Amino acid sequence: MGKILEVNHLTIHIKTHKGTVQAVRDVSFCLNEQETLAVVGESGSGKSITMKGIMGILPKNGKVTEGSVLYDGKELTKLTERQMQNVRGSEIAMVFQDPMTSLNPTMRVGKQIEEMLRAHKKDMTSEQRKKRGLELLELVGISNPEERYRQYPHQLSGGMRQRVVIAIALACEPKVLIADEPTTALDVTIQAQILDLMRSLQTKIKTSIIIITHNLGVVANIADRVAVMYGGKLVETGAVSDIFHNPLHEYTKGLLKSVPKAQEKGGRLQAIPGTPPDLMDPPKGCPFAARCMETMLVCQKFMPEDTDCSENHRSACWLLDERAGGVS
Amino acid sequence: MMTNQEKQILLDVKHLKKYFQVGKKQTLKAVDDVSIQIYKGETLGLVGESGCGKSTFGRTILHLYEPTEGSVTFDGITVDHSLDRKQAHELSRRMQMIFQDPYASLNPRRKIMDIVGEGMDAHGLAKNRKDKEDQVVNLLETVGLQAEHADRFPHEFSGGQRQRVGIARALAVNPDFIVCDEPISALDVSIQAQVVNLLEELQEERGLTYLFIAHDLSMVKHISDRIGVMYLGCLMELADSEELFENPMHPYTKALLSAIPIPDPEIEKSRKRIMLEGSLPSPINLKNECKFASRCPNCKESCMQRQPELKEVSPGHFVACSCIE
Repeated sequence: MGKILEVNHLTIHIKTHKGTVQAVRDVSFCLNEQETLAVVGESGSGKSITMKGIMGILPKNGKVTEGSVLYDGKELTKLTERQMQNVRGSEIAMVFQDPMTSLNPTMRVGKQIEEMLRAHKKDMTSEQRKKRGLELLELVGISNPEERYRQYPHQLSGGMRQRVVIAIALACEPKVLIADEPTTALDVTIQAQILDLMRSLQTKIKTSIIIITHNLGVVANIADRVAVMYGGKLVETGAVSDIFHNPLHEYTKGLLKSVPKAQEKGGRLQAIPGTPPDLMDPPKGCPFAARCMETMLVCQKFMPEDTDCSENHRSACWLLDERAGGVS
Repeated sequence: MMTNQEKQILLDVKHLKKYFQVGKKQTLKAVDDVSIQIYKGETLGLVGESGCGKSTFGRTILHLYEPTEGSVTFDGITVDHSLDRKQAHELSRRMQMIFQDPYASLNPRRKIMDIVGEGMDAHGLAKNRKDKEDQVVNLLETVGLQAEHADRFPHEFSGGQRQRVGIARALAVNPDFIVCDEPISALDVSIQAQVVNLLEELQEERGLTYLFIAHDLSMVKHISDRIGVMYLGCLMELADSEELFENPMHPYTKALLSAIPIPDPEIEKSRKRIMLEGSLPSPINLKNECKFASRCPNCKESCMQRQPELKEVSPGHFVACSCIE
């Protein structure tokens, strides 16, 4: 499997009137062809901003200050806005969290799908566009596409709207699909439908998917690999079974322990005490040091390096340093 | 956990209905004939998809909404208009609520001291200003905040901390019964566990009774003694939480349980899902049939007659489905 997307040392700063927020700090990861990578972390850990940085849709006050994003050999951070527009949508597409706000309420559903085709497939005639639009609606499991094509977003339910959003994202068969919490705003039964759809579409269209979520159940359901973010840093990456059964970073361990297990009942949940760090003034050392049970002096002073523990499984924690003497 | 003899009914809800008029001739049946008993010291979980009427139910039993029909009896007192002011006032002290959105439920222009202390003033629970301040500080410490937080405004806190303030406010008047309306769904996973632990500790210390409304089933299972499943305003199934998860009977409960993703990749990969077709129908002007009929995989002709009543199929396990005898 080749790498389709490679992010190296990405650093993003956001200027606010109160000061500069170091939203993403030195994040490196890659996405292989046809795999699903789940990015998990708390709100404010920088997962959405990382994706927006990759897509080049940062808010006006945000800026990629360092690092590179390599897509298919192209350096995305160096592209002009016009060049980026050709990549966005046709090569890398994005699905947002809230299907209620990501569709235009005054435009018919069909037209919104056609808009994407009109932007990227200039040689298509209007009949071809319509045909493709109907195909897409059928592909994402919307029954009666002819009728839905003429409807407005408010006439559709939440799950149906998210299907339309996915149809728009897939219109040009992008190689990478970034889904930012695609099921958070939906009910569980609808969530199951959407995850099922994404999985079947991946095999059909052969895209790679990055899915942002904070639901560990969703991760277990859909992901091949997992990246855990905390305080603007990537603290652990690995295959889904490694992350769930052999987590290395204390934050990942805490996160897994804090969800109730289906098998056991009673007893307290093991919560992680404290709250995430303020990224306006991030700690000098490990971002998790203040909440970590195993914290050492070195954790507060110096940032731990990424340590490879096995192939494809790495984590940034001082406990993994050989000088820590194998503390578990 | 409680044994059977200890069970004392704290809240008795009988045939509760809450209809809303939308437009001229349309009726939205948010809660449609729900009867349920909540025992002293237990946590009753209420789950269902959005729009199934679980929040309306919680608000109606607190009399925040006027019920269309049916009765709510709290500790022997019928909650309705016949109560005199004093009784109603006392009931509002004994029944409290924790809201879903910790950002919207605290007045941004008041300090925490005033937010938490307001209930004490209203019910005359503090002898003087000093006493009130001491009590507020005590409460803040109980919920895991610090004394100096009393002088701050809500915007200075994180989501989890705000939810703690909301809990402190509910506790300030020494209630017996708290309706927790999705208290954790706006919080991050690692913070959710903190708040759930806090609620459990407080329950043990103060013998509180909770109605815990949520749509995160795994968390509901963790905290609840019994769980009720709602669909389109009706209670479809009610059982001990363990029993409900091990032996779900109603087809909707089965589908709901199979839809929750389990945080374990091996289980997830091997698991068979019951996929529900379509989405929740509109609760406006429903036909007189089983509410789940339009999505039910084993819908029969008899299901189209009426909404089946809740029947006890085994001790403590109630199901409303005409296919189950």
